Amino acid sequence: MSFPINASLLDAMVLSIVQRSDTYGYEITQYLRNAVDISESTLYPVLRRLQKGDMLETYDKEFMGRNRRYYHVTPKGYEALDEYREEWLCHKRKIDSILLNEGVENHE
Amino acid sequence: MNKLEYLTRLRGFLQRYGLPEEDINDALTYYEEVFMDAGFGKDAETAESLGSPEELAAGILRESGIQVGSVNDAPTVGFNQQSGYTNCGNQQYDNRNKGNSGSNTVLKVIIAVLSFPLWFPVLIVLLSVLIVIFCLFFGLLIAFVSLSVSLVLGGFSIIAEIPQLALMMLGGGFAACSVSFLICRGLFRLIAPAFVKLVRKFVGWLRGIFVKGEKSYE
Repeated sequence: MSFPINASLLDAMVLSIVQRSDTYGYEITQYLRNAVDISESTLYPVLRRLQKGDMLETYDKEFMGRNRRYYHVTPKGYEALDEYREEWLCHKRKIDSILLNEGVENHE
Repeated sequence: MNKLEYLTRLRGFLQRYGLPEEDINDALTYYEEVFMDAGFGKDAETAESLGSPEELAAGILRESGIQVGSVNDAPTVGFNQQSGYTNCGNQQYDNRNKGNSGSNTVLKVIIAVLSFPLWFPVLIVLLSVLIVIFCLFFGLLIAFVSLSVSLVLGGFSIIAEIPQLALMMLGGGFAACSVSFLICRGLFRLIAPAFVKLVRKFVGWLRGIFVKGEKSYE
């Protein structure tokens, strides 16, 4: 079994991937697949949502005689990513404290 | 199914549910790119991994706030949004509630039109209060600026007759001048970007209303 990935987490991961270097849709999907099991069709709505939220912007770059759409993180996107990372750490700690019995000694 | 066939069916489905042409083209561009990036001769494989065009379209439509009944409702990946979250405070960037804006727009427009006699006077009053506050502030600023300038000029004009007073006036005047310069500069820096942003937002909002309006009254 695997744990479901929710929309916020996908947003955060996509922002993080694009932050490393500007990249295009297909590559983002391939990258995400290293970590989570998503289909080709998952990414587009995420990118669209991030674009509409002014967290990503796009530009076209020529590649083998056609245009490839590259994504770039906006300042607002950076802000959001920082926020997401903080949230994630907090979330992870809380889950770990129960699931891995971490920090139990402190309570006893 | 080859690329052309797939994309044509996708377009047809998106059009049938009235997604704006701009959004359709964006989606089509994206998925055409996916086909090409997957490599030549892999059309069938890619089409399979994308799921049927109808399912794909349903996902896109759902994200745009258009509900699609007939196509199966199972989300592609666990977008189960009702699951609990650990409470980590700030959820400013959460997109969870961004759903059905499209279907509400028509209703909003109708309500806005019907309640026109109610909100119009309120709007005018609010606007005039804003203008009054603005004028008051602006007037004070002008008064202060002219005070500082006149102090300096006055100081120069009486420097021969009463040097002591003139020096005092000049000193005060220069100090006031610098303060008003600082205020003006601060105000300008504060207001100029905000103003540009406001205008841009307003134009976008206006365009949004007209584009959506046209679509729903066709």
